[in-house]
Amino acid sequence: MGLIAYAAIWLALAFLLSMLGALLWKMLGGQIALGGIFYGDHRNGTTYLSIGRIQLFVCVLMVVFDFALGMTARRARQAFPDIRLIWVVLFGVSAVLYLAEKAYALCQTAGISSHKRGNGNVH
Amino acid sequence: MSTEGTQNASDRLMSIILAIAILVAVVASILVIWGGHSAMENLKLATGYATLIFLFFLSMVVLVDIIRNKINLSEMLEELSGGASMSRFQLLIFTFVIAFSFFVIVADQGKFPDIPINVLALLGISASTYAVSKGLQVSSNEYSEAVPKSNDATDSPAKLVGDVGDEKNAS
Repeated sequence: MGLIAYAAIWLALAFLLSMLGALLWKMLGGQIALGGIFYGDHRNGTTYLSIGRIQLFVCVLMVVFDFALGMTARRARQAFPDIRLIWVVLFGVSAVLYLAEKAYALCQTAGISSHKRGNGNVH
Repeated sequence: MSTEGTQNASDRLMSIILAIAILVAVVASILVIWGGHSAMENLKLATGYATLIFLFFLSMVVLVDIIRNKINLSEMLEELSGGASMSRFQLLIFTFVIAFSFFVIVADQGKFPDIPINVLALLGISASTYAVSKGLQVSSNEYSEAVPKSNDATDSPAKLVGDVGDEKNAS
C-alpha cells in the first residue's frame, strides 16, 4: 500500500474520531440535548413516557451490539458481518411499533380519533 | 475591541493558519510526487494528493466550525416540539457504527467492500424511521396550526365535526 493510501486511511480515521469526539463532547456538555428522549408528545403539548421509544432504544442497542460482535470476529476485517435476518426483522418491527405509537399519540389528543367518532369529546 | 472585531480577527487568524497548512501540504505532496516515475504515474499521484488535501481541509473546516459553534448542532437531535428525538438518535448511532465498520474494512482490504443486503436493510429501516417520524411531526404541527385559523381557539376539530352533524340533523 502506497504512502497516499496510508495518508488517506489516517486522515479518514482522524476525521471520524474527531467528529465522534466533538459530538460526544457536545452531548456530555449539554449543548446537544438528550433530555426527554424517552418521552413522547401529544398534540396539545403534554408529554408521556413512551414505551415505543424505550423498546426502540433497547432494540437498537441489541442490533448494534450484535453488529459489533460480528465486526470483532476473525473474518470481519475482510467484509461486513453477516447480520442474521431475525435482527433485521426485529428492528423493522420495533421501528414500526415506535412509529405507530407516535402516530397514535399525535392523533389521539386533539382530535383525529375524536374526529372520526364525531362525539365531541377531546381526549 | 468589540466582540465582532474579536470574531473577525479570530476568523482571519484561522484563514491564515489554514492557508499555510494547505501550502505546506501541497509542497510536501510535490516533493513526494517528484520521484523517478513516468508522467502518467506522476499525474495519478498528483490527482490523488490533490483530492486528499481538498477532502482533508474541507473536513477540517467543518470540524473547526462545529467546535467554534459556527455550525450549530444544538438542535441536531431535537424534535420540532423541543424534546430529543429517538429516531434521529438511532440514525446517528447506525451512521457511526456502519461508517467505522466501513472504514475498518477499507483500511484492511484497500478496496471498496461489498455491502451485504442485511446491512443495507438495517440502514434503510433506520433512515426510513427517521423520515416517517419527521413526516408525522411536521403534519401534526401543520394540522395544529391550521385548525385555529379555521375556527375559534376554544373549538376543537371534534366540535367542528359535531357542528356539521348538527347542521345535517337540522336540515
